[in-house]
Amino acid sequence: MIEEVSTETVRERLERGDEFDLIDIREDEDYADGHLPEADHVTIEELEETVVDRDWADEVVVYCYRGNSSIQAARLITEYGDAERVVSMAGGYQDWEPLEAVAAD
Amino acid sequence: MPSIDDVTNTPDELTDDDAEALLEEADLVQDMTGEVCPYPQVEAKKGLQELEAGELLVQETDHVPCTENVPRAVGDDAEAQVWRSGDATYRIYLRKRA
Repeated sequence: MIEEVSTETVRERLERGDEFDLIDIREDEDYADGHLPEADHVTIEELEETVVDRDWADEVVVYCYRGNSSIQAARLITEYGDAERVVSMAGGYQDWEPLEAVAAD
Repeated sequence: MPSIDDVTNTPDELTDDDAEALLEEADLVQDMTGEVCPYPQVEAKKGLQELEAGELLVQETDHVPCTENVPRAVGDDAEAQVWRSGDATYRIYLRKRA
């Protein structure tokens, strides 16, 4: 069972400078339009090719549009990668953006 | 090579023959090829609303996570089955429940 974390938790961890891999699995154009700070763009197809060889941080957070496909992607990293803890960001990028707008006021 | 298929929990799988036969009797077919979550989930729910109990909605997709996430999204509204073509295309069969 993949653990899910909230966008607030991810924001706090970014602001604290915690050490973790942040993976954005959305389509290229959506990543280019906007993404979480320091997020690596790795589509599911790229993840399948690189998950075994990549040197993963101990902690990994995966996000997508709404927090659906990121669960399968997190399972893939858990199954084949060397990370200790892999979580999915509930609500996905959709839940993140409103927070950004609020923070910018 | 690792595949997202390995870690995707799909509902019951159909044989090729059953999949073709059921497709013939589908009341609504949605081509979701190229679409990613959450759009197919939204379209499946809308499609089911147009159908009567017992009628069949079929979604075609090439996005493996949808084969788990769409059935989960419609929940008890439909009985779900999946067909895998073997060359990275899939169909999700949703029989509307009463």
